[in-house]
Amino acid sequence: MIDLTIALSVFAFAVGVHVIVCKLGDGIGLKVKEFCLIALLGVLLCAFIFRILPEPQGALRLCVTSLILYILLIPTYVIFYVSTQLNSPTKSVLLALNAHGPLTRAELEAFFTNAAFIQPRLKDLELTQCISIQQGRYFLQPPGKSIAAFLTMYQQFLGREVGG
Amino acid sequence: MDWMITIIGCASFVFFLIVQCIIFRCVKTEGVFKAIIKTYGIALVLNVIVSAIVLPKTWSMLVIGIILSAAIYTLMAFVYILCIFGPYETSIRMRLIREMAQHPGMTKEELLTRYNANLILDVRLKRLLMAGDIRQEQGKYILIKETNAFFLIETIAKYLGQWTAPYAKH
Repeated sequence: MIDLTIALSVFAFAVGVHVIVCKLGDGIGLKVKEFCLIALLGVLLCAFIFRILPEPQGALRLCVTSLILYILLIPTYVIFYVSTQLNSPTKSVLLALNAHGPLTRAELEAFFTNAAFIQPRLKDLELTQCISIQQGRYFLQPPGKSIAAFLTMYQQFLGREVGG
Repeated sequence: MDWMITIIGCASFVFFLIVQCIIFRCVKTEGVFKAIIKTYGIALVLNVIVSAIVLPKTWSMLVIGIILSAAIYTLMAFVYILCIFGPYETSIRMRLIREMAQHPGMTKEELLTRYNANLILDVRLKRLLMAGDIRQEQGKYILIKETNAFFLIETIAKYLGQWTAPYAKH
């Protein structure tokens, strides 16, 4: 059990360092790469501590479980942290209904414009070089093509309609 | 016991994927959230049963083993749903990429006739109605649950924003 305590403490420390980095940094972006680096250093630290820790007789050692849990907590924290900053359409519907009370479909449409939900995403895809615009027409670039290929493969695996 | 906990957690996740692959072929997009919860629950029950059979019979070790293998399975399912299944099912960016892959060289106008804010709103309203988060009465949509995951995330985002000040200098 000491292994689990160590792993969770190191993870909490990594989160703490991330918060400090964000506070003291330039204030631009979410510092996800920095957190991943700090957390991965934490994995090495945990592995090192588990290695040098004496093995007491009769005590329950959970080195593998603790490391796996630690590794899984990294994407969990990143996903949660990033998702809190995203402009989700479902969240927008709920927040609109919460702020303005009952709304008709036409009233909700005022919150759902292409300018709010499509344009920024197109811009993001262009900035990340997933797509390119040539003479006003959209084309996929290699990263976008890889994502599209994965989505097609995944659709075959699940046998579902296209999402979105 | 250490390896066994990890193996049971991973095996439960593989079982979750298999069940999802079978069940989700006939689940409509509105019912996805409930189907995920059910699939997660089925695999969790299996996780507990297998842990109870395989892990040591001492009560304390058994309880610790069940909790940890369930934690590994839960985190794997969480990461999978939010990193792979969620974006496939709900991401606007992924849908835009799919549209562009199917119809290369589209103009923005053509793209917006195939996929637009109205369609996005339609799908979300259906999902929220099906999940029981909202109801429709006399042509108006009404919030049913005062508290749900989205409001919780919004509250946490507010605090995270205060701690880390994201986009402070944007």
